[in-house]
Amino acid sequence: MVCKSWVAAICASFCALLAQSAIAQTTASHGLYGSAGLIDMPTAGVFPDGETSWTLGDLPGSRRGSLNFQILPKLEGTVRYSNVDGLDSDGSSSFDMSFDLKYQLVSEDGWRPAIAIGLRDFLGHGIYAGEYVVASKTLIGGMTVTGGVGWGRLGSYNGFSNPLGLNDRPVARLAGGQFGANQWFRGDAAFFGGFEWDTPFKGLTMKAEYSSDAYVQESAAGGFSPSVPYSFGVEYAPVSGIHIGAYYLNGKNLAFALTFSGNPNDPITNPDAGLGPAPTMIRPPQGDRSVAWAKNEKARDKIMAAVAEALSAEGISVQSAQLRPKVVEIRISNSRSVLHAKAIGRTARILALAMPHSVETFRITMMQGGIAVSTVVVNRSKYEMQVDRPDAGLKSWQSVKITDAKPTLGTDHLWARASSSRFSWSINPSVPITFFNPNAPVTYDLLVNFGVRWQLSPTLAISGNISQHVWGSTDENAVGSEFDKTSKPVLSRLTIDKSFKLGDAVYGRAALGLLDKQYGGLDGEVLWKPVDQNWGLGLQMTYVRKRDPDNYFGFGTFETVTGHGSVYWDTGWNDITAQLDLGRYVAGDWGGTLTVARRFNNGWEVAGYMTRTDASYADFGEGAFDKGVRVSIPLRWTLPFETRSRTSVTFGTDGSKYGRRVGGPGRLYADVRDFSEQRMFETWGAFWQ
Amino acid sequence: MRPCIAVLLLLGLIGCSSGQGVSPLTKVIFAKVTSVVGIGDDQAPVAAPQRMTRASIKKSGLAMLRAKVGEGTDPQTLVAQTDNGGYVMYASQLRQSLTLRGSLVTATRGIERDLLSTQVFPGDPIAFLTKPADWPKSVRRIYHLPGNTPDGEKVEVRCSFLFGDTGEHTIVEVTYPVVQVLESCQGDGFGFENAHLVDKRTGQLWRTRQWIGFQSAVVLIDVLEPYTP
Repeated sequence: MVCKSWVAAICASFCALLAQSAIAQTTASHGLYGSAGLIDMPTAGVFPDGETSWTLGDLPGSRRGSLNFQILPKLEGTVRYSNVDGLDSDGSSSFDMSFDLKYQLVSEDGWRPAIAIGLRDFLGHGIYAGEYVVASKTLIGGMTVTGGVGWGRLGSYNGFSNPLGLNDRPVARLAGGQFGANQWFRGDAAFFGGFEWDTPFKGLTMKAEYSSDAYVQESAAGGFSPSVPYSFGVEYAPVSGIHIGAYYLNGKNLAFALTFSGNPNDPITNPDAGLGPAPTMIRPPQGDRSVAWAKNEKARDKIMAAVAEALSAEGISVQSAQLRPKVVEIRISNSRSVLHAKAIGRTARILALAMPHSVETFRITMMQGGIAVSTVVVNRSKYEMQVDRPDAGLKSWQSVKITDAKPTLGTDHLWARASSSRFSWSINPSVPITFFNPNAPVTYDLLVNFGVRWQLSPTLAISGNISQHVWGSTDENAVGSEFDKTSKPVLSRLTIDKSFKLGDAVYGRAALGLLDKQYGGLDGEVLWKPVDQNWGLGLQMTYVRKRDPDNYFGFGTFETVTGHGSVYWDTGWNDITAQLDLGRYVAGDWGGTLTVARRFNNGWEVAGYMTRTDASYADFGEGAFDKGVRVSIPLRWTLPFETRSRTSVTFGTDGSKYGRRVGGPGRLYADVRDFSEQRMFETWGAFWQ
Repeated sequence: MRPCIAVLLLLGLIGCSSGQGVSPLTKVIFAKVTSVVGIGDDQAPVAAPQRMTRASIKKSGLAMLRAKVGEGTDPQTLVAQTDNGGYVMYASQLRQSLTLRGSLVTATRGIERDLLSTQVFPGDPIAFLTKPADWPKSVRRIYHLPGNTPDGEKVEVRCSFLFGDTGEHTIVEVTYPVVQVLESCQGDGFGFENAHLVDKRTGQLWRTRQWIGFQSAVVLIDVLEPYTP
């Protein structure tokens, strides 16, 4: 069985080519599964760290949509929704969600090929369930050769007895949402392999593969049935980040794929383009250090008016300041720079230019939502000795002090913004996309959102948001509650919001009103998160009543109390953060949500989440628990100027009423996490930018 | 294509709001990008460039550079703003800046990807004025690029110098006797080359092309008027 001619051919060529020294590391391209692969078969290649891609694959009788993420330099993850004709028990199309993981055991080095091990569809219904060990080697002329052994679906064509001796493989899993660990690497195995040629024609790649997938389920359902195990493909990248693929599958049918990809470390636009920092003049040693100015209120006002105007051009708003003869504290909010360290550095430069020579210490306090979060203490003399020098980054980090900010400034020598009452508005389009509901593979909408905010004081505001559905899934086939199925404007929020600080490291907020499009009530949250600590604790409690879908300000009869205790942890390892929420969900079910995210310093975030509650399997719907992946991309990644706006997309189950929480204002932790000492350390290079 | 994507995202996703001013630089960049994709305002007034003369340079009394980054860009004039410990910061009207130690670029801001800093060591003839006859065979440098630490990503190289032909080079009406110098730098698994036109008598660099980072194009600098403390 094993010694087929093709195997001998591949083995011979593979071994011969191994004898050549490596000229490049194994790179990767997307297959029809959206992960690193040939056409249907995997390779051992990996994408650049953080690479994120969306692939739409169209095959005879099935369609696949995949979100692929290079989680760590050697670990790749894929979440996929697929629609396969005739696989449901009633003969209709089956929508399925599946997860893949691949780990590159060794990278290519000299004669050694890259070797990887992987699991396909290990957390789904198992339609694509398969496991593999694969090796890939880069050769001269842009050629890469791949060979591997597969189990499960990847061992279904021309298989042989399990080389590990694990011959019994359970036929199927009970239901989706369960690990299929009892199947892994069991049953028959089979060889697969192929070639990939990165042609001299820029962007053009050609592929050929020998598949070990017999398409058993599709064939049984009367769908795609392969004639031969060979497939061929051509892929073209007209521009960076877009790949188009066309394939001739198994000697029978055509298939197509379209991939969009991006990398947080490779922004579309230059992240540093823009205004450079103001030059810093060192105070002359014999300069005037008198302190008389500090007693003169007009002088203080004049200085601060100039500072506020200069910082305004940097997207930094001065909330208040305290100007003492030798110490100045300035409280600022940063609305433009992605990295807060950059805003702090720019503020220090302006202070160095504007403050009288007697001032020796700058205390720069970062505000978020009207709350003072952290204070960076800068010694002016040391600052002057560091600016423009090669070791300024490290020395400035070693000389500044970061502390929890005091809730309020003292009353002496105080300067405050002239007007604390402000009205603002915004109009923004949004495209909420949710992949994989139980009844539909994707829901999408184009909404126009009109938002208003009346800031009554720095910590008290009235906020409202109305959204109008323009186009998308809102029709009789829409998935979701009755609140989603309307063409009328939706009042998705109208609340009075209060934020406050209970102690140096204890934050709080409350919101009263219409919290989201389904619920109204009273929402409160408290967070303990010292800036020098990489973890925090939070508690959120909400009393809600369900709103009347036919009346903007009406309520139904359903009411409940929901709430969660939360632990937040910034691991400091590869930008990985974790969050565990335990508590009671809106439907009265008790349970927890674990969210693990990789959050890059430029704000790009990919988060995987799973929610498990005491709701029964039958009640919960698709899978035994809620799960998915959320990608959040800062617009600065694509735009040629500084902005803190972002856009998000979610891949996940969203159809069950269980495991759901009330919307409304975001978590306090999201507001304060970027001011922690750890995040400041990672981004401090921007202090001088 | 990338500018097209950026503009489409810009127009599609930013929306509008109250109280968000646009910086002058943003306007300039936006105008540049929109002109690339053909949606810019063709009627926008363009300031006539002023012709630079040696007399105008002398009259200003300022140390001055002319710098160009990458191909197809217009050179910008940068004027010395500060001298902090021998590190001289030159800035353009758009507040983009280069910091130089001698003639070595030790930092860039707002131009390409920022070069955070460059650590130089004694005897580096690009950073410290040295007559060509006294140049060392090689020097060591450490470049600091943006990274996930206060120090950024450190890139250490060793650079050696190769002297070439001699000749003359004219910058804004003044002609200098120069020697061509090719500087070859090698790091761990990578390398780059700088090139200089060096005054045969003093070692002053009048024209220099330098590497400023992996993700940046090289910067080409003409020294219009050197800085003297």
